[in-house]
Amino acid sequence: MNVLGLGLMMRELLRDYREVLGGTLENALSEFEKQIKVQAAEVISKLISEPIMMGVSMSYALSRDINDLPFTTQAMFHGMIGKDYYKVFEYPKLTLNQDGSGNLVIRMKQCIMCAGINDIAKEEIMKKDYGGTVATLFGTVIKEAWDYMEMPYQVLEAKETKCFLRGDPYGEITIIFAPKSSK
Amino acid sequence: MQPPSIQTKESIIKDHSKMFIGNLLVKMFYPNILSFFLSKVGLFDMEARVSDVGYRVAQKLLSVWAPKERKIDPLIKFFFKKMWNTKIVLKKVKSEDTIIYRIIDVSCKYCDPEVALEGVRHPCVTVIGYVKACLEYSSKKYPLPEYKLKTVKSRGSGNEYCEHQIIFRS
Repeated sequence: MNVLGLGLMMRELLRDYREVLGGTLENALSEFEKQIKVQAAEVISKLISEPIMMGVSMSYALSRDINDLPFTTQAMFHGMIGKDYYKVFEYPKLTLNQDGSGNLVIRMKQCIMCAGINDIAKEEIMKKDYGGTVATLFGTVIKEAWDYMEMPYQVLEAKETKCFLRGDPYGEITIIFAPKSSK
Repeated sequence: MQPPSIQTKESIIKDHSKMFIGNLLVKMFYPNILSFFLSKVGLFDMEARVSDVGYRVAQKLLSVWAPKERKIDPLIKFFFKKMWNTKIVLKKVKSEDTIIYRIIDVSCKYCDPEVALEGVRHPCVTVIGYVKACLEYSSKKYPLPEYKLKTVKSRGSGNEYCEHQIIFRS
């Protein structure tokens, strides 16, 4: 699907959500994200395990080494956007703590969700993140991949930490994880 | 070291208007969108709303792409290619009092044959909004007679392909 078309579609849908819910853009974003969470796990787990080409599934591209996470995430961007992925995403940055917890920071030079939007003021978004849907998607992909490989890690949170619509110079999604035993 | 180049919003929009993304996000959120509208406003209004979303999106895209082609056949084919990277079959069927354009899409991005939504006959009804915007764009050069748009088949409800029709009364 066209990237600009996708961003515009989300903008227009949120306009309708807001109207139907009779609330703010923040309410509309919350509802939207809540719905995505339900569907994401199902769609992605299927995508990982089902053969996509010549009997080979996407799971073959996954690595059990946590240090490979930035590379496999970048491969996922390539798969999603194609050869132009580098125009949008920087190479993800992994931080690992001694206790096994850590985070993956994904920076965007341009945002696929909001580049075409010029009618939302940052005050309108309030406490919600406009790119929360993309953060949910990335977090779910990693969670489902780890579950599939029975990795000893869990995704604690996937959130948007920088946003062009809020006036930040780049977009950023942070995925926080920890070993499975920790709470 | 060279400072990173800063792109203007216009150039980013231009970049994005030529870029494609996998269908994962649409697969994830589209069935939920239909369910949401269905539960809140009912079937009729749901269809009207998603179709109108398509119309508004297509209007903006056409203003960015500004295709020179304004004849219906090539314009609609151009639009499907640029928006969904799909090739459609467009058949023109003439009868005594009508001309029907059958838009046949075997790889609709909104339909998932594995996800059946109770009460929704045509999940991809949003596409007629996009077609409406194309017709409006076309009519600026070639005025069009009165027409009706409808979705008659959807892969999402068990059909082999999706079909949208433009019906002109002559």
